[in-house]
Amino acid sequence: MNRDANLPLTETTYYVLLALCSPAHGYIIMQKIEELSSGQVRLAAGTLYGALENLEKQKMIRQILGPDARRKTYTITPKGREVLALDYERMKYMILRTDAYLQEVGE
Amino acid sequence: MKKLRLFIDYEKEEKWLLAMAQKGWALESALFTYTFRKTTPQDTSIRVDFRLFKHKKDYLDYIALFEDSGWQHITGYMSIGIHYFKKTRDQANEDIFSDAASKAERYKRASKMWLMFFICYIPVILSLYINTILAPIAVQQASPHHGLLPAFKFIHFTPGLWPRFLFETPFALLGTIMICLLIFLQVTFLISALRCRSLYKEQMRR
Repeated sequence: MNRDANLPLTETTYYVLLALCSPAHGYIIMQKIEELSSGQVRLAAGTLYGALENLEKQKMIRQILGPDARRKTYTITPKGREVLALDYERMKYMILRTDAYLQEVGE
Repeated sequence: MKKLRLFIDYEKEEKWLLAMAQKGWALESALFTYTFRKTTPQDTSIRVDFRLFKHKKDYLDYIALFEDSGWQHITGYMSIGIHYFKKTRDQANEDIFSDAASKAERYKRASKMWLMFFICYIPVILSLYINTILAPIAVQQASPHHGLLPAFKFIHFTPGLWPRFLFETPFALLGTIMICLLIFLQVTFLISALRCRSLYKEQMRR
């Protein structure tokens, strides 16, 4: 099976892409991820900054003009959306297979 | 108060800065030497990041992200790459990194910078070496009077050359001192680069 080179995404990358389905700047992304993961994932500033830089380099997110001049606002790109969807499918398939197999062996 | 220290290991530096804060010394700046201001003893968590910035705009955005999340920027230098942050909110993350890989990567970036310094200075040293040591020897060797004699002999035994000797010696001496100094710097750059690299690898294995 030929899989996209970006897969699998790390938990950080996945959540950043998901959060950026609606444009936001750094701190908003952090808060959104905490909310989306029910407090399980709390990204720290240094880690998020590096992740944003990498995702921008890979053209999965891009900067847009935001309301705040000092804080950069990002949004997901079509490529980012595609990778996010592929990783979603990958995880969904894993869960399906896991459930089916565990039932088969009678867990 | 000023203190001269050199740290390659950021975790050791962070521990030392915490110990200083607990003794009542708050970090003010860290360019070549550490400058501290006397305050009341505090349990201030301090974290160090390494990242180079080309544009002021990017640097301000970076600082804003840290400050929004409860880490105040104490001091830092966008083109040297070192940045100091202190925790200002209790509910802020314990660290400025939330996974091991991103925490280790600051060493990778620092190692790259030291290696770049090392490479940039190679042509400088080479040109100094050629101009101050190789070239004079070549000139002397080309002289029809004294083929391979060392420079000082050539000057001593050739009448009328003393003024030239007096004129050239300071330049040669200065050149030699410069070369020694640069070689010392080069060794420091290389050791720092290698140490950062090994710290990076060590942290990635954790």
